Amino acid sequence: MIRVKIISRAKEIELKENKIIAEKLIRKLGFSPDEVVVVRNGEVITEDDEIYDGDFVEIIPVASGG
Amino acid sequence: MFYFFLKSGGIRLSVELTEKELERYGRQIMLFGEESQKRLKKARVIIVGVGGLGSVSSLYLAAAGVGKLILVDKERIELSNLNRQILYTTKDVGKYKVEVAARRLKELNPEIEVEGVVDEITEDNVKDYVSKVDLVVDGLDNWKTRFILNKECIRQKKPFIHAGIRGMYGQLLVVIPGKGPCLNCIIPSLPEEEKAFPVLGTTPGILGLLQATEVIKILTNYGTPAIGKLIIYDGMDLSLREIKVNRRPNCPVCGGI
Repeated sequence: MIRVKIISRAKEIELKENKIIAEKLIRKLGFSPDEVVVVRNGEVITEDDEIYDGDFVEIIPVASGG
Repeated sequence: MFYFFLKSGGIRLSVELTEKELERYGRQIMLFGEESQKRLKKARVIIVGVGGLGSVSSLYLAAAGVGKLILVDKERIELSNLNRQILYTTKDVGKYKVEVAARRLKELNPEIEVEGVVDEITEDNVKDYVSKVDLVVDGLDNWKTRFILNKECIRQKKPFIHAGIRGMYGQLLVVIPGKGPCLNCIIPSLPEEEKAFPVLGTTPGILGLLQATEVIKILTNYGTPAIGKLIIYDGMDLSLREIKVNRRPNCPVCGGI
């Protein structure tokens, strides 16, 4: 099971998967890899990294405006 | 490139505080002491972009007595800026932002120097701008320039205070080279640029204030800077979250330092 917290939507979901590529997870949640930061167990990962059973993932949108 | 340079009557390099300064900054001197106030007086800070974020951070840094502020922005004030860019008034529409901002900040605090430059930061000029200051504040609205500044700040080992906003949401990252992650550690590839983004005026107000707070803490060595924390503000549910973030050992920008 992979726990995923989506910061901008203030919700947490659980995925019954053993392994998923970060990019696939991002797109599954309706985001584009260009607009979010993915943090796996407290460390920022890239869209090519893999997420495993037991991991805690935070999806954080980044805002570009000033 | 045009300069709007408003020189202070005081002697900036002096580390002594005048009677007027002791009175002006009295309430914060009660907090962190005269030595910290002298550190602020000696400090030079560049604010790149005086829009929503830069309006607020520059106002509070001027009020706090940062000795020299350099403002860089190439744009003129538009009516649609005025819901959030609180340095400007309706009669300023059409004028250069840095011209009005420099005058406004000097009116607020004649004890400091304020230099406004109509320019944009590029690969070619970033080295010069960063070399003139102790610290860089991000008031930008695009990732390309942020990445240029982040890289140069890492190279010159100077703090870079990043913030970005959209709608009622924003993030803050304090980059202290070698001590915590840089912008590139957190955002490895250039995000998509967005023009004419939606924004509530209070959002850059809050993030700009968080930036100014961190700048003052770093310059005075008072408190603990938010190193290794991505701070997320969300006005929709009024939350301020802290995401612990680490340096990426293979970061192409800061991995080698």
